[in-house]
Amino acid sequence: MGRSAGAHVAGCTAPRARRLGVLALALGGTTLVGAGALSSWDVTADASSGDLTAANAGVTLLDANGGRFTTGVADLLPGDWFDRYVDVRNDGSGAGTFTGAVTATGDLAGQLSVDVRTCSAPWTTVLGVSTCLGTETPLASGSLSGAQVAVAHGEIRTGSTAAQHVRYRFTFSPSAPASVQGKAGSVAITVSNTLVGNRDRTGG
Amino acid sequence: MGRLSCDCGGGSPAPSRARRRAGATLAALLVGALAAPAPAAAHWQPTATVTAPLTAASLGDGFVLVSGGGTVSADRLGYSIGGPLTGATGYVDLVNTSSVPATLSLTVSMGTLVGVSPAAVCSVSWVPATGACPGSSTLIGLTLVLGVASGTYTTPAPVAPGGRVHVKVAVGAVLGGVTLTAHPPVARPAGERTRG
Repeated sequence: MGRSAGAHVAGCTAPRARRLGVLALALGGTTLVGAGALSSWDVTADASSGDLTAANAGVTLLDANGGRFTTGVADLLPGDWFDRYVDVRNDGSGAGTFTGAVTATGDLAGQLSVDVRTCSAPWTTVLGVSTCLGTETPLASGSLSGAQVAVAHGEIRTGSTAAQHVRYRFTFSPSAPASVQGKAGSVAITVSNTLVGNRDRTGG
Repeated sequence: MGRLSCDCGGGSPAPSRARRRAGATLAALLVGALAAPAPAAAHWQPTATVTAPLTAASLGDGFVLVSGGGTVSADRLGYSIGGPLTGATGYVDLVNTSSVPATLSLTVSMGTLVGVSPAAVCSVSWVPATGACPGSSTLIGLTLVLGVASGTYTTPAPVAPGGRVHVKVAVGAVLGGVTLTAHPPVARPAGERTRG
């Protein structure tokens, strides 16, 4: 009986004890997990690229040698000529190849020609004569009658010190007919730096 | 095998046909990659432009009757006064209508020469009322050649645009009268105009 009672007692208390044990185990596990006591293997590798920046492109035409390109010239006579000095500055973030054009418009367009050349040093005027104290290189020349004259400026590095010193010499035709007397026109220069990507930049 | 052949609709073995199809696809992709243009990339093209205005000079001159007799031609390049039976005095200016300074010149001609030249130039405007030159006057000398007396006056310096040569012609009864003819103005030689 006693044993039976005991067995009975034991039989009644065993499931409860198991439940308590399970509960205790659950609580303990939760505590252990919360405390980070259980190990975990979580391997992660991160890598970031270097800084990426988009290219910056820019070009500025600067008046040079004491003149201004926009200064008008009135009362041109056949055979007259005038010089315009411009420093082409690359304001971009890297060296670039520059191209340009010279155009003439109006009634005088057919009577003008241009000679474009660059000097490795700033152009100067000595005793009234346009002078290059460095190396002079012709860039383009031609008549502005009905078409533009393309100018290959070549590569220009960035910054003011690398600006290209360009002289544009415009000549009013010595054989300009009397019919253009008193007529008007204009000359213009354009310089561009075309940037196109499409290149493998894996190497930087 | 027979079932596969039937399903594939052909007599060739399925694996071989699949390989050919895959090969053809790969070849097509390769050819397409080579033949197709590269994807269009945007062009960044900063551009700078400057412009300079220009005008051509105009050249011209012409007579303007100031006072007295005589007639200026329609094109303003001639002036005549007097006739076989009439004497008269006329004051006429040769005006530089150019847009630039220019040297002006005119020729005086007459059928015969009696006495002194009938034409003179004054450095300032004549006074028609008195016929006097308040400045300095210059008589235009004439030379008789083949029965025609003529002489040319040229300004000693370029005349500013709008400037005038003041001429007085006083003629008696002269056969054919006196004629003044304007010559085209002469501007400076071509030169550098960098400063405008």
